[in-house]
Amino acid sequence: MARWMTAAWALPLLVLASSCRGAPAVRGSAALDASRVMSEVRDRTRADGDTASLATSASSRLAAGPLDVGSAVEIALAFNPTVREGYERLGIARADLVQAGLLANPMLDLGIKRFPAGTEIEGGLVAPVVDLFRMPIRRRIAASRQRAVEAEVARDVVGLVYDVRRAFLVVHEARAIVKLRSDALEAAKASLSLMESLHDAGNTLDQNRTIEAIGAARAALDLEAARSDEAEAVEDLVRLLALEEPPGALEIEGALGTAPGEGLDVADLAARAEGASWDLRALDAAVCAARQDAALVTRDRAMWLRDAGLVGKRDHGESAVGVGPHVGLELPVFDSGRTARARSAAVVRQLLAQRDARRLDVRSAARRLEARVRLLLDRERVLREQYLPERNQLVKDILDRYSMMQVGAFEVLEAKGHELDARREHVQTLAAAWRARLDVEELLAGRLNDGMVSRAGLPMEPEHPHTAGGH
Amino acid sequence: MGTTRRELMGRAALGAALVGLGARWAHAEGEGMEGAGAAPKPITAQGYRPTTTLDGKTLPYRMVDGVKVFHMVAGDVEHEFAPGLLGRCWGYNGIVHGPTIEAVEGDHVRIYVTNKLSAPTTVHWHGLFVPSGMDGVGGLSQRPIEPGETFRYEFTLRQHGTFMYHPHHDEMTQMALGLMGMIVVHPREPKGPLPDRDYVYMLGEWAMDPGVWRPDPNEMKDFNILTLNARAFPGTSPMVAQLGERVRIRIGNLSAMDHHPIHLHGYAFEVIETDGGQVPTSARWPETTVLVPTGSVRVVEFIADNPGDWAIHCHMTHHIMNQMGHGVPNTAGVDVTQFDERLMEHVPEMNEIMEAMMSGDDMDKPPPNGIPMIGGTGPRGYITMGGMFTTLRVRERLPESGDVGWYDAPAETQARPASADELRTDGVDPTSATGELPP
Ligand SMILES: [Cu+2]
Repeated sequence: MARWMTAAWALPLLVLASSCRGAPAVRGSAALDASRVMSEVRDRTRADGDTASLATSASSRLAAGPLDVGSAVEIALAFNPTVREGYERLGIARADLVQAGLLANPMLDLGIKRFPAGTEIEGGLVAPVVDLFRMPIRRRIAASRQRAVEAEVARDVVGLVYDVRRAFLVVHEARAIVKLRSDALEAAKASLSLMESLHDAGNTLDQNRTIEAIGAARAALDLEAARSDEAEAVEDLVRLLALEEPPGALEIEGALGTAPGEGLDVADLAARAEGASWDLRALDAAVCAARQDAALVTRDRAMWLRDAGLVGKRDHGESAVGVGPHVGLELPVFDSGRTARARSAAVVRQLLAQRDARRLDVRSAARRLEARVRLLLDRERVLREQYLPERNQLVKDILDRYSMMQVGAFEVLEAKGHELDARREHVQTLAAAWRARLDVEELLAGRLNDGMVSRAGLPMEPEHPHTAGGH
Repeated sequence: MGTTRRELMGRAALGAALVGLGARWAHAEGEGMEGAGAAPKPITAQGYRPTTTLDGKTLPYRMVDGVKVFHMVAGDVEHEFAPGLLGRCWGYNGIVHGPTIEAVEGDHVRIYVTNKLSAPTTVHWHGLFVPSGMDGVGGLSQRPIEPGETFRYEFTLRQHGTFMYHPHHDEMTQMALGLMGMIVVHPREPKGPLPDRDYVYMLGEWAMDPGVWRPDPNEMKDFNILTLNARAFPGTSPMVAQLGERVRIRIGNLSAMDHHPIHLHGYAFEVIETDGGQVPTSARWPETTVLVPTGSVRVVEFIADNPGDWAIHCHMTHHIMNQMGHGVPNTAGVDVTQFDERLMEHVPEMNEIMEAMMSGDDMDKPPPNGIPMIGGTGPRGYITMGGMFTTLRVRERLPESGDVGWYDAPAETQARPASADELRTDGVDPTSATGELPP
C-alpha cells in the first residue's frame, strides 16, 4: 500500500515537472524584473501615460490642474505604496534566486587540546557535498517562486490601475447623481412652497402640506446621502493616489462617458481570461516550485552522504600528522523520509486544487461578466432610447393638460420627479455598464476581483409618489 | 381664476383647429343646420307654425298614400360641439343630435330606422302613446335592430305636445354618444294663439377631456361638456325675436345623470306643457327658471316685450363651463402666476411650450381638441361662460340680413363706472368696507 502510494505521488510530479520552465539565467537584476513586469502591466492595461511629465509628488501633480483618468493612473503607479511594495517583493524574489545558486560554504574545523604530554591538534576541511546535488533544483525552485511573485505583483498592479479607473468612474457617477438629487430637491421645495401658498390661503388640507413637506425632507435626505457618496468616492480616489491630504477640492475632469460598449470585444471571453490570468500563472509557477521541492525531498532521502572533506590530526606526543578523508552519512534509522515526501506531495496537490478553483472562478467570472455587460448595455440603450424619452413625453403631455387647466402644477412636478428618477436610474445603469466593461478589461488584463464572482443588483427606479397632487 | 393662460391656449388651439382640421372635418354636419331667421316661419297648410331646432334640423318626410314616411339612419357622426371641439359621436342622418321629427296630431306616421352603427340599437318614442310593440324597448317590445338592418315603426299620433326619441338598447353607451332627438306634434285644432317663434332644444351632457375625441359613456359624474342641441357656448346660435312676438321654447333633457334648471334673463314665463301633455291655464305660474329633469320636457312661453340681449342658461354653474378640469387645486385667493413661474424654473419643457406658443410654432402640432373653459368675445368684453349658455336677442326690428348682432343699449340704460361726482353727490364712499351710507 505504502509503495503504491509513493508511486501515485510520483506520477503528477513527473508530468508537471516537464511543463515547468527550466531555471532562468541567474543574470539580471531586480530593476530589470520590475521594468519587465511594469511593461507587461502597461501593455495589458493600456496605461500609456507620460511618466516623464510626472512631478516629484502626487500633490504637486494635482496642483497643475484638473485630474484626468490617465494622469490619475500614472500618479497611482508612481506613488501608491502597493507598487513600491511589489517592487520590493520582486527584489526579494531576485535575491532568493541568486542565493539559491550559491553553494554552501565549506567548514574548517580546528581543535587544540592540551595534555601534560603535549598538545593535540585536530582539524578538517569539510564541504556539504549534498549541496552540490541540491543546488540546481533549489535554483529551479527559486526561479519558479520568482515567476509566481512576478505574476502576483503584476496582478496587484493591474488591480491598482483598475481600482483607480473604477474610483474615477464612481466619482463621475456620484457627481451626476448629486446633480439629479439636487434638481429633485429644488423641485420638491417648489412643490412645497406652492402647496404652502394654497395652505396659507386656507385652500387645502394640513395633510397635503405635510405630504409636500415630507417630499421636500425626503429629497433633502437623498441629496445629503448622494453628497456623502460623492465624498466617499473622492476619498477612495485620494487613497489610491496615495495623497496624505487632498489639495483642497480635488478637481476631477470629465463626466460619465456615453458609450460604454464602444470597441468592447467579449468574444471567447472565458478562454481569453483564462489565458491572461495572473493568478493562474502564479499558481502554475507555485505548482512547479512545489514539485521541484518534492523532487528535492526525494533526492535528499536517496542520498545518505551529507558532507565530505579532508581531516588531519596530530596526537599529543606525536610529531607526525595523520591526514585522511572524511565523509558524513545520515542514517535513516528514525526518519525514513516518507512523511516529508508525503507532505511535499500534499502541497503539490493542494496547489493544484487551488489552481482548479481559481480556473473555475475565472471562467465563471467571464461568463457572468459577459452576460452582465450585455444586459447593462442593452438596458442602458433601452433606458436612453425609449424609457427616458417617454418619461419626458409624459411630462410634456401633463404640461399640456396643465396648460388646459385639467391638472394642477403638482401633477407636473410629480411627473418631473418621476422623470428625474428615471434619469437617475439611467445614470446608475450607465455607470454599472462602465463598471462591467472595466471588469471585463481587468479580467482580460489578468486580474479577477471579488465583484466578478458575486451577484450585482440592477439599479431600479423607485416607486414612490413625489407630491400630494394638491386637492 | 387664472383665465389668461387658458384663454391663450384656447385661442391658439382654436386657430390650429381651424387651420389644421378645417378641411378634414368640413364634411361633418354644417350643411343646412338651422339658425334663427329674420322673420317668423310661415304657417303651414296643416295650420301650424314650424319649429326651429337651432344648430340642428327638422326631419323631412314624404307623403305615401296619406302616410307621413320618415327615414332615420343611425350611424357614426363627426360632430362639432363648438369650433375647436370635435367628437366622434353617434347620431341620426349625419347629425348630432338627430333631427327633430315634426308632425300633426292624428297623422299616421311610418318611420324607417336603418342601423349603420357597429352595434344593435332600437328607437323608443318617449312620451308618445304608441302600441306596445312600437315602443322600442330592446328585448321587451322588440328584438334589437342589428347593424345593417332597417326596421319599420308605424303608428298614429294620438296626442299633441313635445316628446323625444332615443335608443332603448344599451342606453348608457348609445345616449352618451349622442343618439337622441326631439319630437313635436302640433295640435290639429290649436287653442289659443300660435307662437311666432317656436324653438326646440335638447339638453345633453358629455364626458370628453381635452385631447380626447370620443365621448366617454363610462362617466357617471364628471361631465365636462354641457350642450344645447349638442352645441356648447360659444358654439351655440342665438335665438331671436322681434319685440312683441310670442316666443315658445321647448326644452327636452336626456342627459345621463343631471337635471338642468334653465334660467332666462329679462323675462318671466309660464310652463305651458310637459311631455305628459298641456298644463291647464289655471295651473300655470310665472317662473324665471324651469327645472328640466332628465327624461322630461318642459315648454315655456312668453311675450318678447323687453328688447336686448338676454342670457339663457343652466343655472348650475359647472354646467356653464367647458371641459372644466375638476382635479385642479383650489387657487382662489392665491397668486396663480407663481405656479407658472415655478414650473418654468423646474420644468424646462414649460419654457419650450411657452416659447412655441408665443412664436406660433405650435401651429404645426395637431390641436388638442379642446376649447377654452369659458366662452368667447362679447360686445363688452369676455363672456365668462361656456356650455349650456346662449342668448335670446330681442329687437324692435330684426334686420333683413338675419345678422342680429349685439344689442346697442341706450346710454342711460347702460351700466358703467361711477364718476367721482356721482359718488360724492350720492354720498357713496368707495373706500368703505361695509358700504354704509351717511344718514
Ligand atoms: Cu344644468
